[in-house]
Amino acid sequence: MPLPAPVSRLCRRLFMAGLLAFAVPATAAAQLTIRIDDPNFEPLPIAIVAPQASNDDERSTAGRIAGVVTANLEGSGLFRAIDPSAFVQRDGSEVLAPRFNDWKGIGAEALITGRVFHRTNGDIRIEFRLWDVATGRQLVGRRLETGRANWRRLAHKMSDAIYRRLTGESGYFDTRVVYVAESGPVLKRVKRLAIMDQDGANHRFLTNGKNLVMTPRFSPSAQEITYLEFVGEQPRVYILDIDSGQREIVGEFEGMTFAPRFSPDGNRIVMSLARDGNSEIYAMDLRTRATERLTRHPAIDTSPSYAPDGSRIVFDSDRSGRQKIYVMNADGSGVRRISNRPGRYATPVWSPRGDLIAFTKLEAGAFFIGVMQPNGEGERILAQGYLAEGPTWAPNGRVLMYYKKPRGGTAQLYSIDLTGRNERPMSTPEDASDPAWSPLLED
Amino acid sequence: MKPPKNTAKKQPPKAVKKPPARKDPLDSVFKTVGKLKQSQQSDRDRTAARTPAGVKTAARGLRLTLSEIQAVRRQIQPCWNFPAGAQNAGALRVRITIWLNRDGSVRDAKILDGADTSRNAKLRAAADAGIRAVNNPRCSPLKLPPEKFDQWKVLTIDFDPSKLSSE
Repeated sequence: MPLPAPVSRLCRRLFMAGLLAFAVPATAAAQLTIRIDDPNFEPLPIAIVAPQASNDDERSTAGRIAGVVTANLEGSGLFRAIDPSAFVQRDGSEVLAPRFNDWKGIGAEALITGRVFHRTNGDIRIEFRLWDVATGRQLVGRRLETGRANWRRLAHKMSDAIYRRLTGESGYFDTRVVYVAESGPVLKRVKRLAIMDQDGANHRFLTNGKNLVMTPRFSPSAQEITYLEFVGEQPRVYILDIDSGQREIVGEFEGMTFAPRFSPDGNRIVMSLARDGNSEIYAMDLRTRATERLTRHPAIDTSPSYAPDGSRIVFDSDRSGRQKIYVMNADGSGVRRISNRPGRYATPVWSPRGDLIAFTKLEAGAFFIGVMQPNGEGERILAQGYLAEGPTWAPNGRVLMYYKKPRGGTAQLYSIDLTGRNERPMSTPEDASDPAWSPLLED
Repeated sequence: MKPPKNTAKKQPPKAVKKPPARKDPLDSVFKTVGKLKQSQQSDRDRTAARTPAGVKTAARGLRLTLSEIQAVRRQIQPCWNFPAGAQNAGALRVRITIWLNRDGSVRDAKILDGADTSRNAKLRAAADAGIRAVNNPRCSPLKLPPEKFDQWKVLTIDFDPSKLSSE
């Protein structure tokens, strides 16, 4: 749901103060230099103080916002929230004038303070500051405002601002995930599209389960989803507007259709179409509805995904005899195989920041989720399972979501960061597969 | 801006713990560890070759020894935290000059020029991580021989995460 206009304006109001201006003259370079090249990856200890409030209602909101921010930052694996019971300065004076020695004393390296207001127009306003404890500098100062029902988005935006300042990369908390929810007996499986915030909140179903659905994918605006729905035996490609619920058929194609996905500019959909038993990659212009065939090979070509600049497409193909990953130019020229290791590779997805391609790999009876560079180098396996499939990128390209199913168990969504060390299960009301992570939501 | 207030010197000496020997937590993930170890070694070799020429000595025999330099490296390293999974880590190298008190506590720390942290959010975050490392009470005061104070009263710490680069 879009935030009201005032919020949009306020979101851009950045009260940066004391921006670091620490440059010193080059003469210092003559001193002894000691090089350190092996950083740690321990979570940064951060103190998240519940925003100050002046009545019980506001205190309740403040506590919930602090809870969401804490869960977001800790869930990223990059931060460790310090237990509030250890806080020394807790009389409200920390909002504007933290006693940094008190915060150093409990091991905090960053500190978040703020105030929350319930306004008479029904809005919530939060003013918050991020402080660097070692130097006493204010790193971020912002004011955000929204309707009370939207308080979670306010907490997500606050989390994104803190994450962005401390990591230098954009956040991914104000986002949603769409996936296929599955229920019922094996022979009469009901599959519905469902959507939720990235932290599992605000869950709802988007389709009624009458028809089988597959492969939901977000548009670049995060407002629309393209997916496959089977009407009888026939798959159709739909576009669904999330908020209005309005949907339209993109096309009914002769033969089978698979894996539709938007281009980065949102003007095209790329997919595979199987005709006469031969699956090829096609792109469709959403304005003219004209389709263009991009691959011409008797092998099965499928799972296309655009590079973020739209110039290239990654896909998988069994043209070498086994399923491998290939990259081609967006017009279908210059096809080049990039995966050269043993095993079958499928569902390649280009990272939103362009530096990596995520994939599913099947080797020696086990499934793996991994990443490699677009030239095929630097393959790293991040997760594995009896069945693990369908990676999707968070918009900042540092976290992946996928689904995993243990032998005899139920399918569940998981997120994992690029180190492969921070794997977290997502809680969903039904079995869950085929997730797609939205871009950052627009104001 | 005023130099950060020094709290480290208020710490009792026993608060200075020798950092535990650390295994790179990503060893199990990144496949390039072998190469990295090599580069680390070659860095030490380079430092060894460079140090005598790079230090103005007041008197023969008062230069910092390699083991003293290595001790500083080992002391600061545990406090240098870098966001895991950063893109193009090689571009996020930051040099920070520190001014030290005689007791080894950090009086001031500034980013050496050349790092355009005002326009590059990633570099700014990396620079902040370096500033946090040298100011962290867990890793300060630096244990250095007082008789060689002139040698180490100003040091430049070169935080170089380039071996993490996946490019």
